Amino acid sequence: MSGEVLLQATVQGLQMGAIYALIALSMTLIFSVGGLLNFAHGDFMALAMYGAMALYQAFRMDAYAAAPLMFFLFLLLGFVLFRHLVQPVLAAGVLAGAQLTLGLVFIQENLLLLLFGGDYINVPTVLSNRNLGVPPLVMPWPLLVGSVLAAVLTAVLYVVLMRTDFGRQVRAITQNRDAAALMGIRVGRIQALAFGIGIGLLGLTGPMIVAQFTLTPAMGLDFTLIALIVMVTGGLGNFTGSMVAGVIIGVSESLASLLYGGTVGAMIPYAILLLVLLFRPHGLMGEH
Amino acid sequence: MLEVSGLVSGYGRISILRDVELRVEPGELVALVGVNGAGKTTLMKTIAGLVPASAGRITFEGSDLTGRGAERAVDAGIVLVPEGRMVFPRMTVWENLMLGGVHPRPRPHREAMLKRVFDLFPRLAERRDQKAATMSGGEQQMLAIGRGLMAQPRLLILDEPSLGLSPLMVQETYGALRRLNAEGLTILLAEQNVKLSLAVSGRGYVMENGRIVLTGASGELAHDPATRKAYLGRL
Ligand SMILES: Nc1ncnc2c1ncn2[C@@H]1O[C@H](COP(=O)(O)OP(=O)(O)O)[C@@H](O)[C@H]1O
Ligand SMILES: [Mg+2]
Repeated sequence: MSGEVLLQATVQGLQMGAIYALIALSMTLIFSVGGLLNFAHGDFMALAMYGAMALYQAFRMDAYAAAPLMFFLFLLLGFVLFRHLVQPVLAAGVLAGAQLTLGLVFIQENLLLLLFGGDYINVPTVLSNRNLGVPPLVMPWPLLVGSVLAAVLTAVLYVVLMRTDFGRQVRAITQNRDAAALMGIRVGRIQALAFGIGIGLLGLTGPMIVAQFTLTPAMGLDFTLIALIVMVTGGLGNFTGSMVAGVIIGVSESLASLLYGGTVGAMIPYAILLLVLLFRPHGLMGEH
Repeated sequence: MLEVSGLVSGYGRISILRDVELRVEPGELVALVGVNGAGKTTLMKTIAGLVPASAGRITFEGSDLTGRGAERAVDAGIVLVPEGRMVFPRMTVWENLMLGGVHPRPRPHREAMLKRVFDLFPRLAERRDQKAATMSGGEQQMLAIGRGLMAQPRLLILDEPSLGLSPLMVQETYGALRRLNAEGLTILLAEQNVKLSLAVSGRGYVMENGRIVLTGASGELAHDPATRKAYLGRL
């Protein structure tokens, strides 16, 4: 095995890791403000990818141009969904909330099936099938752009959470909801905003990485699983943990696929999750 | 300033408070005493809008706050420093204080308030970047009070500020409360520590089983046999 191939796999792993980190970070954001496990997480991203596909088919709008539009659409969708559906259900307990998001999985998957059929669909973009050669590396442009954007968004979201009044209010609700209410923080509104931003980020990410995927209505499950694994590995509700775990899992998966084949590579996220939970039951950065 | 009348509240369908009457006038330091389980915390939380009232009225400076929620109470200037301190454990002292003043009313004055809080509790300034969870109980109580002050209260309510503190820390905490009151801040204080709270306050209320059973000047309450009785010799 040459060093060049290892380098190639590591870079590709870092790129996937950045995308994993972003998806998991948005899931953590949603989890942290109300204990909601969003099982429909990946399905929202699939919905955004199909949205990009529909915009392309109808107006020849490129997915990269559709991404910002989808961000605002999904931000609004998330905010309204939280206020009118999630919040009332979540008031009955986090279990009811989890059941609701499971319900959303079936609604979204069947909606996609109904609207677009069950066929595999590829969405062409300006970057599709183009590579950037930086010897000795060869990087597909879509992955490069998607991962750089994911890394930037992750960094921006992280700074917002750690350094702004909004972020401090989100963390305050996570750490002690009653105390947050006593500061006059409008808990429901911050929760709705956090949920909206979490869903909005999926609306943005979906079209940005659509060129690397073949669309099928049930594709959301894979994203949900990876986000769950990354979030739990990093430590439930811990923002730094999600970022670190995303990168670790992305790189390990990519290296294992290269060294031992795709089947082993696909098992790696689960293996890492098990190992981490064995030695650190609350995840890499989890507390308590 | 604060007027509570005929107040009934509790959790779910269980009423804890029954027909509670309580007043606080501007500039006063009022103590609410009673044994563990008497309903002091429930009353404080209901005034602060965290627990909904099922009957009665809470008015503050003439405006009706009954059932208007915690955000509205803070807006009006009622700030509760809760029992058990409830600082944000994984945030620094500075972050906790910033959150105390995050409400739109106090927000523009945060820097000035931060200076005042650091003047009152120099130890908080020294620990500015330390995580709240890593501080001692006394320091956390200072932080909880400081965080409450950041909201620029007109009425500061404290629930068991001496609970679990060393005697030295209790002295320091009560010294700060005295000073704040002397500077004109109105304070309502719930305590199991009867001796201490009646010593610093001007007036007091004794609570038992969700009712106010006795009220009067703190000096008299402290010597009233009925207060002693309510405490089974705890005085
Ligand atoms: N969250 C709650 N749910 C149900 N009952 C509660 C709750 N909090 C307190 N109580 C009950 O209300 C009564 C008064 O408690 P509390 O207001 O905490 O009294 P105090 O502060 O004087 O010790 C107690 O009998 C207690 O068991
Ligand atoms: Mg109490």
